[in-house]
Amino acid sequence: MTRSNRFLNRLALLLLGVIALAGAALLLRPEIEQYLLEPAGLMVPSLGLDQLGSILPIAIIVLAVLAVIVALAVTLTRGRGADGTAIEQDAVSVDANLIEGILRRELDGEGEVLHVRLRAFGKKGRTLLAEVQVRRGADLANVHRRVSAAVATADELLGEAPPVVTHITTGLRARLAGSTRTH
Amino acid sequence: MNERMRSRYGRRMRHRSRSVAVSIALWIAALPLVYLAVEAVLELVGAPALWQAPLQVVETVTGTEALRFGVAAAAVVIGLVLLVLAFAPGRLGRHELADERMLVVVDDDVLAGALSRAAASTAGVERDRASTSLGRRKADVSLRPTSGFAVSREDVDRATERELERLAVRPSVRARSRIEQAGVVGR
Repeated sequence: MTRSNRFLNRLALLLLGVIALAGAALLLRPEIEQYLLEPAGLMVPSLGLDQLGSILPIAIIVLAVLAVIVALAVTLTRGRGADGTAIEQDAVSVDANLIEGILRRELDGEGEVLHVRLRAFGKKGRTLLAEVQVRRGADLANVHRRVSAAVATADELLGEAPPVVTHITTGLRARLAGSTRTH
Repeated sequence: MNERMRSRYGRRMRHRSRSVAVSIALWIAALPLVYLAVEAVLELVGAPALWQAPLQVVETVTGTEALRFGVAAAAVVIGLVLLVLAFAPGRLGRHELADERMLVVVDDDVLAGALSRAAASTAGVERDRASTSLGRRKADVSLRPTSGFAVSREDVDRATERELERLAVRPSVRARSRIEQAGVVGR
């Protein structure tokens, strides 16, 4: 989970898609004119690229620089938002590793839980994202109950209850670990 | 966690962000422009072109039928893929479990495993003899019984429904089971 703006992502994809289709339409302009525009009695003025002459190289350079800046900015800022500070209040800050340690200790011995990872998100009022990796075919109700109990213990030790998102997942560890047999 | 936050994070966890798609699309758009910009700089300083000057590149592409149709087809495919990515719901295979203290999001393969477990336990067979295919609102549980031992479909349905009720899955899921005709010798 990141802080990236999902609406802007969709908007960027929409704009780039429209630009790609517009580019294709420009390349297929003779066919579009012949089969679509002329029968409908419509004409589109020529782009006159040759008239651009000396401006064209400058325009291309400016566009390329802008495109690279935008692409770099989006790529480098993608996925940011998680850091190691779980709670920040006045002069006191609590590291996410500490809460992760509490959850691990509480879930220790729970054979169906393979791994717990905790990260913190958000600027104002941190939200904790706990990723709990379980075995394939795990008793989900039991895992849920144990994680709830572990979070309650963490709340008690911290003296406050920050917002928590728990993601129960499998993954490579689960594929390698397989399922446990109780008989 | 208040309801607004729960709904917002729930939605973010259950849908793709499309950040990777945006990054890839931006680089796909930027790289041809970078090439043309290099050619433009070379033209401005009077150095020999890597291939052709920008205007000549445009003329070559528009003047060669095969190249023109090839580039146009690639642009149409890329454009359509981007529009589909922009408008598709982008749902991830995840459901939420009811919880008062926190938001709990579970991957569909974990939920499917839990349903298979409940079905196998009711039928008295090994867990690997039950499999579940899970959609957004529907779960199809398939079970291979032990030869010579009848398995009640109603019992399996009840067990999987009970498991779903116990977990309080959101969006709600309806389970339907199917007992395979061919059984297996052994448990």
